[in-house]
Amino acid sequence: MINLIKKDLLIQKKSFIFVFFYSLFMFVIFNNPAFVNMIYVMGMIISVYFFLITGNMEDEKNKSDILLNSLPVLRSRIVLAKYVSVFVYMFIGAFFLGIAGLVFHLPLFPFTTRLMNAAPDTSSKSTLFGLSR
Amino acid sequence: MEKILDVINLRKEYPGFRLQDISFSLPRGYIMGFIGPNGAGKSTTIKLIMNLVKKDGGKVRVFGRDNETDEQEIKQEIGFVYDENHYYEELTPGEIRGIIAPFYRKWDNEVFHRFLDRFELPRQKKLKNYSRGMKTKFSLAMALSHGASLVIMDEPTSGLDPVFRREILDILRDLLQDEQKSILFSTHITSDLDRVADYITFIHKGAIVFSDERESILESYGLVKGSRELLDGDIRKEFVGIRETSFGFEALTRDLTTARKSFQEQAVVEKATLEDIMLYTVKGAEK
Repeated sequence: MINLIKKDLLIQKKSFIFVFFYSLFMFVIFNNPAFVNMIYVMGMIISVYFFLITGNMEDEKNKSDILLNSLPVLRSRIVLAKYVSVFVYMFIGAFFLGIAGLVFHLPLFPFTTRLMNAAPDTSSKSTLFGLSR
Repeated sequence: MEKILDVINLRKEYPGFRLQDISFSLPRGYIMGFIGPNGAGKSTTIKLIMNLVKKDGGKVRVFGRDNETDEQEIKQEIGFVYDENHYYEELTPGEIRGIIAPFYRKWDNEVFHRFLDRFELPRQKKLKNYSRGMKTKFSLAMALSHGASLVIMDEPTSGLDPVFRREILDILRDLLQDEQKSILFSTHITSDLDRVADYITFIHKGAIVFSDERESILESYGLVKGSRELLDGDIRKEFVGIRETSFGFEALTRDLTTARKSFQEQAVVEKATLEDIMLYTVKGAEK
């Protein structure tokens, strides 16, 4: 199964670059304090979505289902690998977002960001879905 | 003789098409040509053997094992080449090897690289920049690098130029000289089989017309050429298929020796080629 997940990553090397730059881009457009607490979650969803769609598209493009089903691998494993890969994509997204957050946390940039593992801004007491009032 | 592949009463129904209880078997160390016109059921049969689609009835035994219950074990020893390239086009051969190799227990990198060299496949190029013939050769290299004892090919020569086709057929013949491999090879280009096949299975409209050694097929089928006066109701029935022109007729018979005796000097009786057999059988079945 690890081979299948590895395959999904190898066939979309360009997605890594895209997701990394998209993470940077997200910090720029969502630099409003209102988004500060939800940007990482949003970014991860976008990362998962992008990896999943691109990976399946590559499989679809060459009709690689025929290839995969001809290999000595259980059909249920192929399906399971697709589900498990969602978590892999999430961690990759989190990693890139973490780096992007770190970059924009430098005093160089005038953006409102927080580090990934830092506690939410406590100065605004009541938050609704991470939105400061 | 040990049967590598044994298809028993295999049945599959689609709307508008039916594979009717087909049976044939392939012994170890031989090449079987699987011929038939387009839409005869060649690809469906191959998909059923590879367990890509579910069968409606019958049995497929590969290496003496059922192809559904022992699917994983069987596929370890099957190499496959399909008419289209299903490998990832954005990757180079080495990268694809990296993806596929871990699935096989007996994957041999050395053999793989030897095939890449022999087929003169550029390692730096992505697969999408390969020509069609190179893609087929690459598929062949992948199919032969994990010690497969059965290689299944679904129209590997379709869409290739004669030079590439000849090359691929030569490779297949080389393979069988020293090894214990068997090859099932579907095609609609009958001249391919004149060079390589030991056994020939002819399928038409989802049914097997014959499945036998090539030599005995070519010895039993004959082509009769003569003037139209010879054709009467009884004789017509003897033929598999007849083509009439204003000058005379050409007809295919299943019994070459009897035809030679009965026509003697009245008509020309000669051996039929596979192409004649296919052509007249299809023609005869239309009536």
